[in-house]
Amino acid sequence: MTGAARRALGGITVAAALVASAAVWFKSTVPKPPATVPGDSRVVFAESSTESERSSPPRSRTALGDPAMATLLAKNQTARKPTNAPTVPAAVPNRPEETGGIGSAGHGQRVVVAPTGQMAGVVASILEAPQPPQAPPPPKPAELAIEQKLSGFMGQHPGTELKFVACDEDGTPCRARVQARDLESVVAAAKATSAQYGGRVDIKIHEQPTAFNGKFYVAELQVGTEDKRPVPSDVVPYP
Amino acid sequence: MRKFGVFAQRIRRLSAPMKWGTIAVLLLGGAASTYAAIQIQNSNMVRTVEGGNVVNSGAGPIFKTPFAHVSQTAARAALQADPVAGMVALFTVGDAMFALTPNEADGSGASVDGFSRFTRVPRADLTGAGQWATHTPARATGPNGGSCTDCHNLPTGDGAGSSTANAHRDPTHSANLKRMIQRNTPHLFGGSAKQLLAEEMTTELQGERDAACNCQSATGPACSARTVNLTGKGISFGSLVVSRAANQACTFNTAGVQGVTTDLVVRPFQWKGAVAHLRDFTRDANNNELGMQANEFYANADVDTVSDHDGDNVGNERTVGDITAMTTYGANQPRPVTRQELVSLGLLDCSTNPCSDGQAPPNSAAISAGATAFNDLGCASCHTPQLLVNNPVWQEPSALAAFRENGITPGGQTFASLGVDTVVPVRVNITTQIQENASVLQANGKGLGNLETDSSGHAIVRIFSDLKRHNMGSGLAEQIDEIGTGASVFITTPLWGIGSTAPYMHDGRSPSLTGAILEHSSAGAEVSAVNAVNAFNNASNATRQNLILFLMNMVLFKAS
Repeated sequence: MTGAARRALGGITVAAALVASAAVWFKSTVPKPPATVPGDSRVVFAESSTESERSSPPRSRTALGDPAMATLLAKNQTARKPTNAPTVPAAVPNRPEETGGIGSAGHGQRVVVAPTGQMAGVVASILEAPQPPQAPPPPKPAELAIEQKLSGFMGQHPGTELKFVACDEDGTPCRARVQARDLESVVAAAKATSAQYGGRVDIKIHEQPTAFNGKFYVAELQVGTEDKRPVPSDVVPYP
Repeated sequence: MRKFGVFAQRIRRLSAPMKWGTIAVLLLGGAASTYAAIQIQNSNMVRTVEGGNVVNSGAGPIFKTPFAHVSQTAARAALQADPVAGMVALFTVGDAMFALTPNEADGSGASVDGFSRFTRVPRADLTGAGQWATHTPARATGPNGGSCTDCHNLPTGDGAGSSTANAHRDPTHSANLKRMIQRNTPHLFGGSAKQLLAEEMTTELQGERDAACNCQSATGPACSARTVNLTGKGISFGSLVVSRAANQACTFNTAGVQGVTTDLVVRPFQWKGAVAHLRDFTRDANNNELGMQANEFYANADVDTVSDHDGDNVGNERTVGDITAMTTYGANQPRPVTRQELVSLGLLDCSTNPCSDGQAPPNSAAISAGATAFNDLGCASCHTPQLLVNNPVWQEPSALAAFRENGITPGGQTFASLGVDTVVPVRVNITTQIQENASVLQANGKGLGNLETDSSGHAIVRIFSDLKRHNMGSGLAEQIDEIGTGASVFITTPLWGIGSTAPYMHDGRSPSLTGAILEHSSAGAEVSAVNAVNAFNNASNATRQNLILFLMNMVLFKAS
C-alpha cells in the first residue's frame, strides 16, 4: 500500500469513526418512544354490556376503583401523543423475543394490540390475520374493452384523465370516471364516449373540489345502458 | 472533465489534513448516496430486521413488531355485534395509527427522487419512473411528515401546527414557485360536529332548491322560472333560479349562489372549504402529507397487497379498515373548551397568577365584555358563534350521498362491496360518546369531549363560523386560484380553540390575533369584514383588549 493510499484509508477511517460516533451520540440523545399500548380505555362503556347501561353517563377513569386497571391506564397514558396535561413516566418496553416479534414470521406477522378490559378482544378481532402478498387480479374483459376505447380519446386530449373503469358481476352498466381541469374537455370526453356506444351511456358531470389537487370537472359514466341517454353540456346538481 | 480537473487541482493545493479529510468526506458522501438509493428499495430488509410500526403491541422502540392492518370485514362484524364496542375498537386502533410513525416497511413517505423519502418542497420537476410527479394519485405536497402528530401538535396532539409545519403545495404540478401555495396546520378538534353541521346545511339548501319545481324527480310538468333563496341554519347562501320544461329535468341558474359550490354541498374542511367529510380528509392527508396510500384509491382495494403507487417499494399501506379506523378516531376528537371551563373543572390551576398554563387567570368581566364587542364590532356576522346540530349522530359512511362520495371509491369500487355501507355504519353520538376527553367529566356528567345539548337534544356547536366561503381581499389572495372559487376566497375559519392555535390565517402569517383581525381588510374584501376591521380600529383600546381576551379564552384541551 502506498503512503498516499494509507493516508487516504486513515482519513476515511477517522471520518467514518467520527460520523459513527456522531450517530451514536445523536441516537442516545433522541428520546426513545415509549411502549405503545393503544388500548387506552377512554372507553365510555367498556364495562357495559346492555343498552341501558350504555345509555348511562360515562364514568371517570379514576372512578373505576380497580388497581390493576389504574396501573394499566397509567402505562397507557405514556404511550399517547403529546397532551397539555401531565403524564407519568414511560413503561419499560418489552424485548422483541417476548413478543415473538422478529425471526419467526417477518412480514405479515400478526400484531396483538393490548387494550384494557373487555375491549381487548374486540380490538384484536378487527385486526387482520397475516396476509400473504397478493397481486391484483387482471382487469375483466369488459373493463379492458372500455378502457381501450376511452384511452384512445384520452391520449388525443392530454387534459383529460380516465380515473377508472369498473364492471360489477351483477350485469349492471360498467362505471367509468373521466376528469379534467376544464368543463369543455370533460364534455368533449363525454360526447366521444357516448358516440362510441351509440348513446347508451348515462353521463353526469359535476364540479369536484379536492383537498390538495385543486378543482376538477368530473364525468361519472355508466357505460352500456339499455336506452340512449343525452350528453350533458354542463354540470348537474350532485349527485 | 475539465471541471473535474480544476476541482482536482484545488484539492491538491489543500494542506494534507484538509486534503485527506475532503477526500474522505467525498468518498463517504458517495457511499451515503449509494446507501440512500438502496434504502428506498430495501423496505423488505427493514421489514425483516425491524418489522413495521403502524400498530404495535408495545414491543418496544428498537425492534418493532410487524405491520398490522384493520380488516374492514372484521370491523363491520364487530360493529354489527356491538355498535358501541366496534366503534371504540376502531377509535382505539385509529388513535395508535394517528400517533405512531410508520417506517420503511410500512411504506412511510414516498420516493421523491429515488433517494429521498420526504420533501417540504413540491417536486413536480421530478418526472422519472416512481418519482414525485408520477405518484398516483397525483400529489400536491410532501410527503412532509412521519406521523400526523409531526404537524398537528400545538398545544397537544390533534392540535394545530406552527409556521415551520406549513405545507407547501403545487396543486397544478407547475414546478414553479410562483404557482405554489402554503397552508398552516389547522386543529382537528370537533371534526364530527363540523361534518354534521355541513350535512344538515346541505340537506336544507338542496331541499330548498329541489322543492321549487319538485326537482328531485328526474322529470315532471313544466315549471316556470322562479328564484329560490338559499338559507342553511339561518345563513344566507344567495339564491338560484329554477325552471323546468315539461317532462325534462330541472335547469338551474346558479349565478346567484354565494359561499358554496353550485352543487350546494357545504364542504367544511380545508382552508377553502374543499372537502366534505372526514374519510376524504383522512385519506388525502395520509397520501399527501405522510405518503401512506389508501388502497381505496385504486382498483381491487380489498385484495391487492403488493401494488406500489409511490415508488417506495411497498403496497397495501392503508387498508380500507385502516382508513375507517383513522376516520373514526377523527370523529372522536373533542370539542374545544374555554379556560374558564377548565378552571371550573379543576383542570387549570389559577390559584396563583399566572395560572398553570402560564397565562393570566381568565377575567370573567373582560371576557364577557369581549363577547359583547365580538358582536358589536361585526365579527359575528361571519364568525357565527353557535350553530345547532339537530341529529347529533355522526356516521360513517354518511346517510347523505354527497358525504360518502355516492358510495363509489376513488378507485371505482362500491364502498358497500368493501364492507363500508350504511346498513352497518360506524356511529358516534357527539353529545354522549366522544372518546377523547371522556375521562374528564364536565358539569353535566358527560365526558368533556362531548358537545353540549339544548333542551330539545340538539347539539350546541360553539364553532364561531358560518361554514361559508368569503372573499378576504387581495391582501390574502394566493398565487393561484386553487379550487376555482377565487384566489382570495376562504371558508370562515372556526374560532373555537383559537386561543391555542397561533399563528393565524391560512399561511400562518399572523403571530397575533390583533394582526389576524387586521388582515381581514384589504382591497376586494367583503364589506362586512372591512366594516368589522374599521370598527375594531375605532374602538377603545380597552374594548380591543377585551375582544382579544375573549378570543384567547377559547382553547384546545386534551387529557392524558
